[in-house]
Amino acid sequence: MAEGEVKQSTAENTAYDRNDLPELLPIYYKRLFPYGPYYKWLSYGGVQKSYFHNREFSFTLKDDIYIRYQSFADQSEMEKEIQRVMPYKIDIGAVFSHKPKDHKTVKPGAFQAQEKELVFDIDMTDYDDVRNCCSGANICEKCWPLMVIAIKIVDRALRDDFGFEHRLWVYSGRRGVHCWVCDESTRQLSQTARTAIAEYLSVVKGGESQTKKVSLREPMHPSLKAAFEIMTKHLKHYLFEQQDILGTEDRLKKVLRLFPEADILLRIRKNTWQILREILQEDAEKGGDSEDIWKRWLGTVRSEKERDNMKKSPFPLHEVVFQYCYPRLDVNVSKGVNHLLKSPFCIHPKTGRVCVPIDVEDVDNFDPFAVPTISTLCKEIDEYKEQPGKENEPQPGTKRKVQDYQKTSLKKSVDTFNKFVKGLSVMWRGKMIENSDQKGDF
Amino acid sequence: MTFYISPPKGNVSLQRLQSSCCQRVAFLKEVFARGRDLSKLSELTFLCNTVERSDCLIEGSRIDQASHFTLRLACCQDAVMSHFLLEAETTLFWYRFSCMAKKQLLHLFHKIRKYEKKLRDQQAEIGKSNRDLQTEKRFQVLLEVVTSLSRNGSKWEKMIQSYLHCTDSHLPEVRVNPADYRTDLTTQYCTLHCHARGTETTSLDLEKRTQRDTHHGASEEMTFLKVPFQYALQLISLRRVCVHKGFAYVHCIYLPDVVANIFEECLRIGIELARKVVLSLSDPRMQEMFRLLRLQFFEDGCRGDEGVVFDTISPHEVDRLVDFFPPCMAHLHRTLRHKHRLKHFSRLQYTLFLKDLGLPVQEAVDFWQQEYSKPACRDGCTHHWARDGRRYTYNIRHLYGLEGSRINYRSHCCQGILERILQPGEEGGCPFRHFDQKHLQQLLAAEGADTAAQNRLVSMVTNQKPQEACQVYLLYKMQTTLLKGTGDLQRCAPLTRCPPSHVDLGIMESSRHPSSTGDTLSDAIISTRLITTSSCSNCGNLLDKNSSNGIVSPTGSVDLIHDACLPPPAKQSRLRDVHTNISDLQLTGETDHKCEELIDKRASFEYGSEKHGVGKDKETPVLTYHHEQGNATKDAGIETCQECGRVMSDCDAGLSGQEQCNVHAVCSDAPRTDSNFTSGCILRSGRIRKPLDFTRALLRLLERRKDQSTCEMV
Repeated sequence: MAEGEVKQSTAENTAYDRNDLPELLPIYYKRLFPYGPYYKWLSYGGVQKSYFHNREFSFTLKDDIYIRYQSFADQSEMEKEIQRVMPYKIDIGAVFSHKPKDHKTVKPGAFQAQEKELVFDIDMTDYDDVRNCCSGANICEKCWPLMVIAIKIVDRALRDDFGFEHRLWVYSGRRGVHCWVCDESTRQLSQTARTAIAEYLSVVKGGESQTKKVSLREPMHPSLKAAFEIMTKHLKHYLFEQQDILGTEDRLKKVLRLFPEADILLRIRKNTWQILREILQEDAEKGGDSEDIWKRWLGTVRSEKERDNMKKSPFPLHEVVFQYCYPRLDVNVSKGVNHLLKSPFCIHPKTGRVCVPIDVEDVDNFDPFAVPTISTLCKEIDEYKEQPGKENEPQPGTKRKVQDYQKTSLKKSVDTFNKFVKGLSVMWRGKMIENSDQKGDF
Repeated sequence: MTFYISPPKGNVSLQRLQSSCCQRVAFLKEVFARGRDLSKLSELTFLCNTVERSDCLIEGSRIDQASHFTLRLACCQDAVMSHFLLEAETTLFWYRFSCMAKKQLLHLFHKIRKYEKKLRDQQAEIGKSNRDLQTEKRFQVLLEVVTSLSRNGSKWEKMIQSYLHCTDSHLPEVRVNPADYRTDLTTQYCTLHCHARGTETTSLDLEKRTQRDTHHGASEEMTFLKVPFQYALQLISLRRVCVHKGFAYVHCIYLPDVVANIFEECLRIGIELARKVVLSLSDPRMQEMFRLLRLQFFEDGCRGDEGVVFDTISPHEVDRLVDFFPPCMAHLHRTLRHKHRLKHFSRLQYTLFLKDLGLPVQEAVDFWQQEYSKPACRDGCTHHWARDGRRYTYNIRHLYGLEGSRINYRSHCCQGILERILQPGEEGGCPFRHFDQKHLQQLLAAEGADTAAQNRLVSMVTNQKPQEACQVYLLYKMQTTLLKGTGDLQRCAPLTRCPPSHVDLGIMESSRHPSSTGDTLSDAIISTRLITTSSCSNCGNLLDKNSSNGIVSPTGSVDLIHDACLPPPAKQSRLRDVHTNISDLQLTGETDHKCEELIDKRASFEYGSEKHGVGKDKETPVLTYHHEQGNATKDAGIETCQECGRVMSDCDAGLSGQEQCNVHAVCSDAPRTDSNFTSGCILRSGRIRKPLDFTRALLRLLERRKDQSTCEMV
């Protein structure tokens, strides 16, 4: 599965080998994992004392052995436990009514998941029917823009429509991205609310047996309009150049399939779609590259619209764009309060890459292939030592001046993470003051 | 109008409380099954069995409150029950709210405001009380939403006015189809704003607009409510409202939905609170009552364990059984055989189906290993048994309740499959819901349905009736199986003589190539099914001409009912459970052929005729016997089931075809008239609730044929 990845990594000269993981993980967990900000994030400033120790963590060990319901009293216990167990993967679960560790001692009905960040999982495999470059777990620079578009669209909606302030985007280490929405009210959302938000954000609907997955109605919802504007910016580069969706016979056919064949029930009359499909086919046969054809199509659809032929399907070309570019969320992950999701900063066991936070402001420049692997990082630490110019190394007994992560290419990611946690702390600082005010009242 | 904020004080007899709680559960189940649909809910008020014992439901009455709060305690410890209570009570609230007149609405609002004020006063003296602060605070926040809709009383009044205006002036349409009507309306308003806005954000415009409305009185009346998005969730998931910075701008016609959402939130808090309280509740009498309520709740739910179909089947027998699979599972099977891989959820769905069919765990592992050891036909999937076998084995064993939390999972029910949102590339789901026309036709063609049937089914699907379509398809399939061979016996004969395992294949073959008679006849049946709109009062299924009957229900009104649904004489119930071995299904030997021929002739005659009557008795002597039986059942129409002692139509009615009483299902296993042959098999379980019901029905049909042929021989 990781073939594509392995090739990429070899190019970087520090090839990651799965078999090295047991040796590398101790170094990573000992010296690089950012426990400080990580704990700060998940304890949310300790406003609610029990918040951190009622949080479920789940470890995956070698050979896919899961250990669920782990929980820790504080940062040092978490550190110790992670370094003892050396998990291949860490998942974060919900905040429960009791310490997850003790879940067996509590009455069955009483142990309940109470809160969790609202999470989103976008996975490149869900785009297989609209990617012409790779499939399955593989990704390349030609399809990565899909993730960029997805982040932009979902982030905008979460920010502008729902007013969520604290959104952490994380690269999943291989082929997708995760989002953690951490506002206080968001963490308390019910399953119904989570489902509703996820559905609000889902436009591409249907499985393998539903070819045309998008149908838009007049008038277009403002949120979709905003999304369309974002996608428009990527059309030329992504859709026409990188994916070249109308470039070959096969690809063209695939697009035209989105204008479904005649309705069997209306066999006598040709339906709108079929007529349109034929016109567009003719347009495409006039030649030119994807963009030329597309422009011709725009003109055709406009004139068809003017002739009032498109009442039932007001946005045929928009629908193509939505089907090809609009984010495809895994709704089932977002729905449940109790759903586990891979933690930021753990290592993807198959690629060795770190699940690093993504800076949304700079998402266009995020390169998944530049994300450090655990092998690179460990090498970087070693190389740093060897550089004679660095004055901090000789005094390990004193307080570490330069933290290990700063010696590596992980620095940028940790900084992004720190920025996010700092943003969060504004929230709980306000909360603390409020609380102490209340106490001061009497 | 009641929000059920604080429980009533006083005494009530245990017996009264218990009976009213039971009634409430029964009623809420009806409500739950109907959902937020005005016309369907109104029906409820005309049903005698709900009205008769509904004193616990008179809104605001003491016993109404008492039963509500007791149910909170009874349900709070179980996730499924809590969800049910939340959903059903909210729907009930929604219905009550939708029915309210202006005066009541105003009264409700004043009450909420008073309570909110009380809470705020209490908040002032926080330190002194030992109350659960957090909960109180959340309550307050919630109620503030309502009151903030109306800082001054007049605004609320205006809101109500424009709400009533909107609903009243369009009352007929609302009654006919509330959902569509509302969509149109919002769309209309949305359009209005889309035109009005510049290019940036509609929602901002809306905000301005609402503000303007507040300031300048109602120039265009109060059309929009600005509420935190949590209170407009259904509308949000359908993208029917504009959302901006966490606030939804909701058209006033949705007022009931918004207030119902607030109610739901209050109830959610209430249930949480109950969860804390119930642990300290040690009165054994209460515990006993909760136990009974639990029993009542689960007696007919999806949880009912129907057991496996076969004692045991082996992996290679799966291929032969595919013909008995519902289209959803047959599709998964073919996809698996073709691509050698299934995506996660599809795999889960199919594994559980096979499990309930009778595939033992080790055989299941072998079955999946066999496929997953082949190279994937779908590009992309690089999983392989050699590398991931451990994980797959674990997953399978997990589903069989042998790993992890050791839950013995049952196969998914149709509702769950229907509601699932498929990921792109996922093959599962319900073909009648998740497939587009082209794919559905392909699937039906692969299943062996002829073009006419395909077209009919596709048209049903476009009418958004996936479950009914599946039922019609089952009927069609039964007919093609039944009618397969008046002229085709020769072709079947060599197959039947084969070792038992090959016989099913014969049937499969013949149903793939139905005889011409089969075509037209089944066609006719399907069309009658489509045309008749009246449905059986017992099972809720469509009636066709062949199998309808008027019977006098206990209420004195004449109900249309399937012959098959008529209470059969409490006779032999030897088919109590179809725990048979696969070999039992085989039809072997020359003698059976004759019987088959007889059955087939008779069946085709029956299906072709308008109504079964005395005239036919000459043709097939067996029919006389069955006809008599038919009379007997008719006489028994108003009687009680001998096994359980409940009035038949009473306890079997409604509730989306779910069986409320197992005994009835068993009773109905007794032989029936031939014309009910097929329909009886479907209707036994009311409706296809699980994909396995489809298979069960087909297998029963086959078994019945075998029984009948032996019977005739005797």
